This record gives sequence, structure tokens and C-alpha cells, in this order.
Amino acid sequence: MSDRVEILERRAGGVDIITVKGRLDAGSSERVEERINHLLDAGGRSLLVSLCDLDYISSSGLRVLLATLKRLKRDGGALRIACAQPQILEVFTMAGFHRIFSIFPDEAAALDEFAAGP
Amino acid sequence: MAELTVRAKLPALAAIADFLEETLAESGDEMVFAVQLAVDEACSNTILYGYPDGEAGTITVTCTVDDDVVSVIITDDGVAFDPLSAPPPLLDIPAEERPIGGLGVHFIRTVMDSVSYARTGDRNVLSMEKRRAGSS
Repeated sequence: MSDRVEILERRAGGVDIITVKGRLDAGSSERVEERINHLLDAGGRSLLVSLCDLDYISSSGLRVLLATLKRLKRDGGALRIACAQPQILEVFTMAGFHRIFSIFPDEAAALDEFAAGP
Repeated sequence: MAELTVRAKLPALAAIADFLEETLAESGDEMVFAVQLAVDEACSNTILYGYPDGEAGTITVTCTVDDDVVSVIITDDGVAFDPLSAPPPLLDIPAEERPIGGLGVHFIRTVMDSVSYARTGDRNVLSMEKRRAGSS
């Protein structure tokens, strides 16, 4: 099977929410990046990436998130991540990314933080 | 010993993950996670950069589960490349200043206990080991 990623988009209270399920690896990261860039090209500045149902992430997936963070910071936007999966969080920690990303245990907590300000 | 040979194309990454999950089913979630990550990072590098002329070759992954250690050997017929020669990433600088890249090898070194590289004939050979929990 060649494609094990599912990407869902929705909006809530002015926040674009991208949910990535399955595997975010070198084979799927380009597709995820395209979807995110499409949203940002359309003017999105508040982005929540939900990894609550992600099974696997590699450095290729982290690169997409880092590029997104850099772009949003440059454009005055905000990126927040929802994730409570221990093995996904372990990969963030190994990369030192737990210090540079705003990570919340679930989507509701992340959305509350958007409501509270940038 | 279990062995899998795949074409060096991106869709093979999921098949490699399945192969390792099956082979390491008795070794615990933490072992599966670590070996899948290390092998995925190594094979991603090979697939993305090992065949600059465009014609993908083959990657063979062998996985051996002994009482105290899991051993993985990855061989490919891509261009000669020692991933262990890459400099370590800078983990403590602000996001805006970070170069994108260099993380994959850092992950391999972090989750595995030993990693070594050799060029044997026309193949890259990356050997990795991780001790099983409870063994010393």
C-alpha cells in the first residue's frame, strides 16, 4: 500500500484546522506541505495542526512543520499543534522541537489558546 | 532472521514499517517504534538522495531478533554515502535560524545503541543494533 496518510481540513472560529492521520513520512510529507501552503496562500494566519490520530512521524514530517512555523512567524501568524501520542511527542523531543512549538494535548485546548490571543 | 527487499521508491517506506512491526511483534512497542524510526530515516535518505540519475535500485532490510539484542542491516545499491559522516544538528537555536535537515541521522543515533557504515562492493551497508529491555 503506497499511501497511508489522511488529511482533513476544517475551520473553527477563524482558525484553520488541518488533521493529519496515519503516517507522516518522506512519502507523504510533500502532500501535507502542499495542503498547508494552500491554506496559507489563501491568507490563513491561525493554523492548528492536529496530530491526535497520527501513528508515525519522521524527520520529513517535522521539516514540514518547521517550514510552516517559520512562514507563519514571518507573516505574523500562529501555529499550534494538538497531540497527545507519546511516541509522536518523543520524536518532537528528540529533535528539540518541544521547545519551539506550542503543543497542546487536544484540539480544544489549542483552540482556547487561539481565542486567548496570538 | 527476516529479510525484505524493496524497490527504492517512497511507497516502500510503509511496507518496510509493516515488515518490522511483524518481525518485532514479540519485542515490545518501544522496540518497534525505535527500529521503525531508525530504518525509515535511513531508507528515506537512500530513496531521496541515493539515486541521483533517477533509476531507483533496491534496498534490502534484514532484521534479527536475538535474546538480548535486535540487529538490523540495511543495504542499498545507491551512490556511496556514509550517513554517519553528517554533522550533528543544532538543537538549541531558535526556530527561525534552524537549518532544515540533519535530523534523520540524529534520530538513528538516538534510538539505536550502535550504528556503523561500510561500503561493500557496490552496496552501502548500514548496521544497527538495539539492546532488548531487560538485557544488559
